[in-house]
Amino acid sequence: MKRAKQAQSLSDQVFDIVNWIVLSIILIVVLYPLLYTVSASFSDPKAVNSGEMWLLPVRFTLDGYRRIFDYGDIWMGYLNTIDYTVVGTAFSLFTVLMYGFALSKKKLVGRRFFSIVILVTMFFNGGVVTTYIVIKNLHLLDTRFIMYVCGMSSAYYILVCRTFFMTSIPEALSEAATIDGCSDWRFFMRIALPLSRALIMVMIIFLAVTRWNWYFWPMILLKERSKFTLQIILKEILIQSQMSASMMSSGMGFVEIQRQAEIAQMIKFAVIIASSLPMLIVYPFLQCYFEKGVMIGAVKG
Amino acid sequence: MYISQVASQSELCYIVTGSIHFCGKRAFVLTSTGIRGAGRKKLLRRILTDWQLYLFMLPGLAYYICLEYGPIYGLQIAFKNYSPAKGIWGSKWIGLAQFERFFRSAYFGATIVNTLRLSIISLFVGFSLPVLFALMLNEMRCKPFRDLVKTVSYAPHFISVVVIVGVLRLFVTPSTGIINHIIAALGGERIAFFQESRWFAPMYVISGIWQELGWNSMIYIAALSSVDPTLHEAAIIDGANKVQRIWHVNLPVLRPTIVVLLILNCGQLLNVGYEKVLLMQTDTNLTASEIISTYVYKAGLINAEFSFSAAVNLFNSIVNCVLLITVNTITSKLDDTSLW
Amino acid sequence: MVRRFFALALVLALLAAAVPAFAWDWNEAAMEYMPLADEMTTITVMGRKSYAAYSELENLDTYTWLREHANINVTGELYMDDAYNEKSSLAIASGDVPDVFIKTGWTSAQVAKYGEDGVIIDLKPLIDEYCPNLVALFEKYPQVKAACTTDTGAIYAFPGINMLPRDVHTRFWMSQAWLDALGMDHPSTLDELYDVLVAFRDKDPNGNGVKDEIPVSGANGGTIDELILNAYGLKTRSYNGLFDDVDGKVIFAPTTEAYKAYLKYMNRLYAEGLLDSEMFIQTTEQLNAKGGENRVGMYQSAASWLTCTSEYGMDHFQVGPFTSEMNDTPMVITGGGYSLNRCCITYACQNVEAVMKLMNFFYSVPGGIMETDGPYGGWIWLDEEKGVWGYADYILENFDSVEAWRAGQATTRDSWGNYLDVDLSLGLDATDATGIDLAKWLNDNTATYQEPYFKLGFPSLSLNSDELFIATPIENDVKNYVTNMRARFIIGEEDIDAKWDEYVSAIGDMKVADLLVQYQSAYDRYLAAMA
Repeated sequence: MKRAKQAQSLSDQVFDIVNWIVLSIILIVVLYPLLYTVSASFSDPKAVNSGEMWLLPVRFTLDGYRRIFDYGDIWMGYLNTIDYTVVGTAFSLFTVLMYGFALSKKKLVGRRFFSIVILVTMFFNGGVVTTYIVIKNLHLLDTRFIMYVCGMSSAYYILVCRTFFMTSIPEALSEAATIDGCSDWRFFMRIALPLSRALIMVMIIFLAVTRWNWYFWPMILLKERSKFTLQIILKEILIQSQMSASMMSSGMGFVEIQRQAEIAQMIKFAVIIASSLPMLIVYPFLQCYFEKGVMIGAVKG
Repeated sequence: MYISQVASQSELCYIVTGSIHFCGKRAFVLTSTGIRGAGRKKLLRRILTDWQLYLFMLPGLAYYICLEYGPIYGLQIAFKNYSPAKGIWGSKWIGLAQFERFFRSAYFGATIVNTLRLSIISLFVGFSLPVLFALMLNEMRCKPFRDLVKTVSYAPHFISVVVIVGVLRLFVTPSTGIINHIIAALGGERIAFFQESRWFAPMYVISGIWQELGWNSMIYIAALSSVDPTLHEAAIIDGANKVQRIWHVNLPVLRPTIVVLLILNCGQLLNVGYEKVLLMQTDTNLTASEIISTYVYKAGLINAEFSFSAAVNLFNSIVNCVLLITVNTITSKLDDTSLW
Repeated sequence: MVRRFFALALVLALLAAAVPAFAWDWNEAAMEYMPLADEMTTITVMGRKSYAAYSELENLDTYTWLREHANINVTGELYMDDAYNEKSSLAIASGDVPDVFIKTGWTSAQVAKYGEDGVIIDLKPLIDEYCPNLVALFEKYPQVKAACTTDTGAIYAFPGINMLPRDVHTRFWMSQAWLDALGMDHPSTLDELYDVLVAFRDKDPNGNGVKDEIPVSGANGGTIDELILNAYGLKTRSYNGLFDDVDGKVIFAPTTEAYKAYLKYMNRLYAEGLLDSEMFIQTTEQLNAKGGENRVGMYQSAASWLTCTSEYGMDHFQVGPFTSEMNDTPMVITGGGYSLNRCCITYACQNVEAVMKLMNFFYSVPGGIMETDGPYGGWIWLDEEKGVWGYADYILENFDSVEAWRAGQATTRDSWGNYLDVDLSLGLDATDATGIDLAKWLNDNTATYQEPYFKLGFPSLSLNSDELFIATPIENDVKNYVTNMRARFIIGEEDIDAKWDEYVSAIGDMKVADLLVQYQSAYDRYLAAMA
């Protein structure tokens, strides 16, 4: 018995060491370009382009960030994006979870039909023009509501939720609940959801990040500047720097042009940081909150 | 206490075969007696009993009907010579002419091969690695390190593709890039990665992995957290080591999720986006880097052709659909997992 | 050295001639056209936000001025480039079109299509009635009229006409400082160029003791190709220009003997280390980094100081044109001085007359200046006595420099059709740190080295929708192939002599003959319209 235990711990130990090494390598390989990007947003662009900067900022400068945050509208962009993300994610979350839950019930009549209905849309859709016209006819153009609702549902996530519910909530549990007089709704709210904290957290992250980074549909559907999202404003800042750098055909002051060209480069990196930092900060908090509550096995023995 | 499975076809007669404690109350488990009722009435009754489930699906369905099926009449753009002024109904019907233009192109075969090469390699690699990563992370006992790796690993997802390609270009420049510095230090010859066609797919896939590894593994990490620890305890008692435990306990838990995602991704095989590839294209690597979406994009630049890109997209969708159905049929036969 | 003195003398002469040209009052000239409408007329537009227009459209100085003096109120939206394409199509599809689409950036194909479908109106009769300035310009520059007219004789979009010598051609630069260090003259034939480049590579002209010079460089695959192509007799304007004409017949340039000679020349440069080996894979920023270290001897760029910084760039000159054993006429190919499809009037416009009169104003000298640079007169004026420019307090107080004003507040530059021939911006930036007037410097450089050799290149034609239906897929494929093969030939991945016949027949297989037929009929129309 002891020998078996020793042998076990040897192969386990080897496994652990390999695990540590591999994960460390992954950490470094992933971390390095990230640090590079952060450093590049603080460095003199010439140093970046000539290869001089490779890890730490060279000739530290805040000009890129200054350009971004001096642009008054950016705070409005942040607020709008937070608004659309929070409310929109809530809409999406419930839609996707509920639909996925419904599909996970084998007893549901027409289960196949309802699965196919959503799958078809993954492949065939009417295209930008017709969707725009439909939204226009619904009088939803340039409204906050359409920003909450657009992209609300995704067949991909619905199926992931369905799979998750099917594997982690035993059929027996739901049968027992039915017999006990537990309605589907109560089961969903009181049992299924609490058991699926990990899934909910992942869904929130996926859905929220998608909405946060959205550019195309907000750009098309919004007209009034006060509703513009962060990504639109950031793109404006980016393009303006690039464009004014190329505008020299009537002889601009060269200091102005050169500075513009360089800042345009720097801004590319700074924009990434400005746009993704909020999300990166929120994630660890979400993680803490959900991990505290992961429960396993409500019914055993 | 053993819990019997109640048959999923609704029957009207039950007998008690056991009882369990549930929600602090005693519940009885029923088994069917095998008595069946009349067909149609039964169906209606089942629907009515499950009315809440249908309500669950209502918001999703409302969305789909309004915003996805509503505009679907726009598919016919692929068969017309669309002009925004005439509108969809007023544009001239030309049947398969747009498709023919695509099929007859000298690049038709090449673009499909290049697209498939990228997506199949991405599929294999982009599937196995996140699963492995999730499994390994799960086994890491040291929580701070595990959290660090997790957080760092999903950060690249946020970086826009423009910056990633920009940084990649800087890294692999023959004269000043860090990768080539390392190669030279190890005694090798500097490689012009962006110039040679054979490096295009590897660079595309590797940068994709870097960007999405952590992100894609999130789902698997979540699934792994719901593994019943008693199963692991049982396995340890049986003398299994870590590797065996992973194989026999963790992987089966992940399997349904892996299969579903695999099927869904097979249904996206021809949909390689143009943005990243366009940024990585150079004149010299075009033989490997010209894919369907970049081809259509450039054609559109010459002449804002809605119909042409609609036709090619429809072609892509049909092929993807067929692939999805095929793969789904295979998995449902082999594994009993199906998307519908 | 002699060349340099000659150049200087020329410059002085030009300067002397230039001064009286600015002795007119912009205000006076502009007010002759005012007001453009009897009562306040509103025109809605949809345009591009390309030039850092920080403010709302209505608040830009040009439009403020128009409201005050012309009785025209321009309102509307400006969108960024990628948004504009989608939004304009969607606007047309959903029926919400503005009166005028400005700075469209549409291809001639799109314009022809929209015109055919009635989205935008035919301007020709209106031009004849309301725009005498444009009619006069069409007569003076027939190539513009020919390029604008569709096969049905209609004109659907206004062109921008810019005849400033410095804006009509592509600029290539070489380091004068390096030539001086080596004691060599400006090369004028391809053989002389080769010798100069070899000297650049071997003799350390930047004087730092290290052989780090790159004789010729470029970015994203583009470099001095046009110079070589023109030297061999082809009149194409870029390295992937597909067409040229020989006595009125459209030929396919990439399969000619001249093109083959160009490929061989470039391949030779590449193989001998005279052409930057990273040319195909480096970005413009990386090129600029090398230029900033004074390592690049010859390159293509909008301005030498952009690529090589002002420290080294001011010692560069515009190199070319060259002659070769195949062609002994030096030519600098120009684009004809026009850019098409600036703005279009839609079917929804109720005040067509007002718009046409506005366009007429923009095609006048003062109007063209205002459309490009903003309103002068009250904001900027030339103080002849002191010989300096005066700026309104408004500019001095609110902006870092005149450039900043012009970039951000003055106008939506190049959005409407306009006409530029007089360069009022000369001498504008006297506040520059180095004291060099860049616009003037560029003008003089062009006048000295390039202008004498100007020649009109193959125009960009407008095909009708039937021609386009056939031409587009072929052109797409052929362009892909030519671009790829050119790169591989230059690098040496494929041997030019060995692979040439295969290359030509592959292009033939792509039905390039059909493509030429379509372009030929468009070109015939163009020549007829020019006559």
